[in-house]
Amino acid sequence: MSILFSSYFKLQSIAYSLQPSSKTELLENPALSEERLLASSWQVIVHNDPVNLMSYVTMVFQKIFGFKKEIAEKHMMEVHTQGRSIVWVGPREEAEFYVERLHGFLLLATLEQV
Amino acid sequence: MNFHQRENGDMEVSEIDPLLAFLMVEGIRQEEEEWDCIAESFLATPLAEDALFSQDWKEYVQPGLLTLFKSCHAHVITDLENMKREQLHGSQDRLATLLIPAAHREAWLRILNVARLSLAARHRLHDQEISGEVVPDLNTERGKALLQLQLFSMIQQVLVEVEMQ
Repeated sequence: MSILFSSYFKLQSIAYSLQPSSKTELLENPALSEERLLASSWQVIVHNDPVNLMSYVTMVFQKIFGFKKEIAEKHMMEVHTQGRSIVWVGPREEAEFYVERLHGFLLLATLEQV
Repeated sequence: MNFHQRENGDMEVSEIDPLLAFLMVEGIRQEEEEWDCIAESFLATPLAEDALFSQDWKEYVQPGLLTLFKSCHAHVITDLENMKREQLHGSQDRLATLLIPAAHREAWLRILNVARLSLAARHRLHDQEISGEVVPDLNTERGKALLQLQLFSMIQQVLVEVEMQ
């Protein structure tokens, strides 16, 4: 098992105590978002697929990232119209955790280094 | 088909036409044969260019996700098996009533999504069909799949609305 995955499993054990809203707030505030981009290096990207309902995608974003409805809908529309949306930026281990949760709702999500 | 949310959050779907009840059970049962395909298609590694990471993802993360889906699937199958069929006054058919407990709602949301994605992939349904712009021809397998997809969309839509209340 890679070192990455050792950290991943440690992260999993505390994952459910994470407060996603403190992270997701960053995308709601452009100034903070910029700071965050400089300090971290991985982004979680959700890709479009023709099957998932818009309301379902919005709901999943709200559940996983704690987005307010308007923010969740903004990201959902970005996925729908532009084919993808960056929904979270931060350290790699946490990014992996969020991708796993998105896959748990069968949303097509990938990781990219900034 | 009527949807009624009980005070405890459970969702009752009543007066389900026998054909729709049959398609619901068939569509959801069919997934069991396709878990591997689902894992390959929808739970793919999120970082394909990193071979070690991809290997670890396949080895450690995908099985956990499949276990999650199988557990959700078991809840949904239990609810479908408990579906009641009764002859209502004035109807010749035995209409079905399905109860979706609040505790199973998230499992239903996930499994309806699995079912819809599987149907779309298996029958290569195109965007217009998926968005409900095409009337299903029930004389064909494709039409039957389309009706299943539309049925699952409707149930999923109602459950999303309830979930986000």
